[in-house]
Amino acid sequence: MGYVISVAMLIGIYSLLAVGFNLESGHAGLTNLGFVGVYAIGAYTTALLSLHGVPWPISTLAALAPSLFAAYLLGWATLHLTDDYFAIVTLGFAEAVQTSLTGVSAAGGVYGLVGVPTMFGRFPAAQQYLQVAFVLVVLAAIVVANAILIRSDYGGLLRAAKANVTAARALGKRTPALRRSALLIGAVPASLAGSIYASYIGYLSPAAFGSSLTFLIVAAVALGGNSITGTLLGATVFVGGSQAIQYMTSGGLSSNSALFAQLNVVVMGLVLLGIIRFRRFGVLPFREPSRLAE
Amino acid sequence: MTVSLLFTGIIMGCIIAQVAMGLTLIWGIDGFINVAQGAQLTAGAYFAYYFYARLGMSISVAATLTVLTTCAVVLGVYFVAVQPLGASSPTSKLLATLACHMVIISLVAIAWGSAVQTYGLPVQRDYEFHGLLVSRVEIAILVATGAVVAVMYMLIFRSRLGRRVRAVADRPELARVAGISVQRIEIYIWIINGVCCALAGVLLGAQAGVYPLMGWQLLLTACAAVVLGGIGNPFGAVVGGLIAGCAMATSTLWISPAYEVAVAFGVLAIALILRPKGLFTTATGW
Repeated sequence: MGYVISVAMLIGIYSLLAVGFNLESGHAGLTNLGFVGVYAIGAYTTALLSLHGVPWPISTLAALAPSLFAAYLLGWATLHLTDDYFAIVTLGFAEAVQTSLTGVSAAGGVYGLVGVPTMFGRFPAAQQYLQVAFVLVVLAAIVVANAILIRSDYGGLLRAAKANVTAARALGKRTPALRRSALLIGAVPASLAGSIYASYIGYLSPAAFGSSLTFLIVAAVALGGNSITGTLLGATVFVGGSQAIQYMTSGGLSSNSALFAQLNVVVMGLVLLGIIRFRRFGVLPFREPSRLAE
Repeated sequence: MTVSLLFTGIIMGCIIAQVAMGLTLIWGIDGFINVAQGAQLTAGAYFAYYFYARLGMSISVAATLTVLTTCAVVLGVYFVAVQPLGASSPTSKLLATLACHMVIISLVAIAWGSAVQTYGLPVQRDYEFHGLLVSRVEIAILVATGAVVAVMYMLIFRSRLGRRVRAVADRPELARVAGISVQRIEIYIWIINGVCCALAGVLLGAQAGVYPLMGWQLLLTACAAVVLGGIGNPFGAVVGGLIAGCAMATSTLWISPAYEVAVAFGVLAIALILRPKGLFTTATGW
């Protein structure tokens, strides 16, 4: 049971990341491969504040400030770029955040931070149930907000700007502001995911914020498609799948668990290649609401 | 102190330049960023490690086999992730090569482990030039980079293939109408890129050891070099690589080496803000 809950926790946390990335890439057309950088900033801010005695709900909310500031700066530096430049520079942002963390002694350097106070620490008996309930409530709130957003006129405008920037501008839509706002809105779930991760797992090391996490989320969103159900499905399949593999291989076959983790990445890579080639819009693509279809 | 740092930067810049030359050719012809470039370099470094250090082949045989196998991997990336996508958006090709990157890196880690390994080259005394210590591997890096630049120059500006490559990079439709097989040119370019990756991988492996993420960590810098030099311009990429290498090496005078990737990111961001079309762009891009 404890194991099922820990998988549910990870699915919840990574689904938050996936929902944020889906808004940016699937709807606003911004292939922001830097969301793990925002996630790391959220996690480290929360952990540092909590280690200095700030209660975790406050440090979770407070972490939004540096995360959103980082997303704003990233947007300022990159939004004038075209698609693939944007992707590579944002990817560079995430890499720069990760490697810089190894150099910041206040963040524990390569060793990271240990002993971060965990969520609901006052209720040891029910802690894990409360944690998973909390992450699912946050996820539900974000999903509902996101569903309303992408079905609103705002979502339609984002997709219009994605489909044809020039046409959207010619119609008087302020596309730079739209794209900037999408980057900021997408940063909110990423930062929350980082905060929850920090106060769930209790220790942070830069290794947890590398390109393989970026890849996991990108593959999940590509598999699921741009609809919210698709995004959640993709995250569940990939996170649940990789955790199940780790679980099955860690009992008795522990010497092979690293091997299976690598094999798992190979499989994800092949799935992503297949999706891009044969089913470009994922398993459950987003359907434009009829109200906006015109 | 500063001289030896600059020298370190030039050595780093030479390796970046080799990766960037292949990257920029593909960027210019296929119009997308090949994220698998770093993994291709890693593959080359590990093939050399396998043939030379594990199987104990002589250097020349190991080198030949390394170039051949690396080219096979690089062509694999082309035929799996690039060619079937045809004219789809650069971003989907970028994501497809990202998938290739993850697959290659994981296969390398499965085959040879994740720990840093070395070629076990015989230890030799460094040469000394006025207080600057230069190892044999560093001399090999300088010579090889010079040779690659020279061969690339002959290939691009003095051969029939090069004329067709430049035509395709300039106006693909016109080139097609003129009877050039764009597909075949692309394959040639990917093979040239494979040789660049193999060479850079072997030299970087000899200099700093092999580990699965060795190429990934160069990718960002190589992108900065490509943008600095102007996309599609291999000689610009060499200059861009040297600038990026020296910037990263001399930055350690002021800030901790832990921020090297952040410096590379800064160089890339500044390059894109100041010279989005590169330092040496002319009307034709060459």
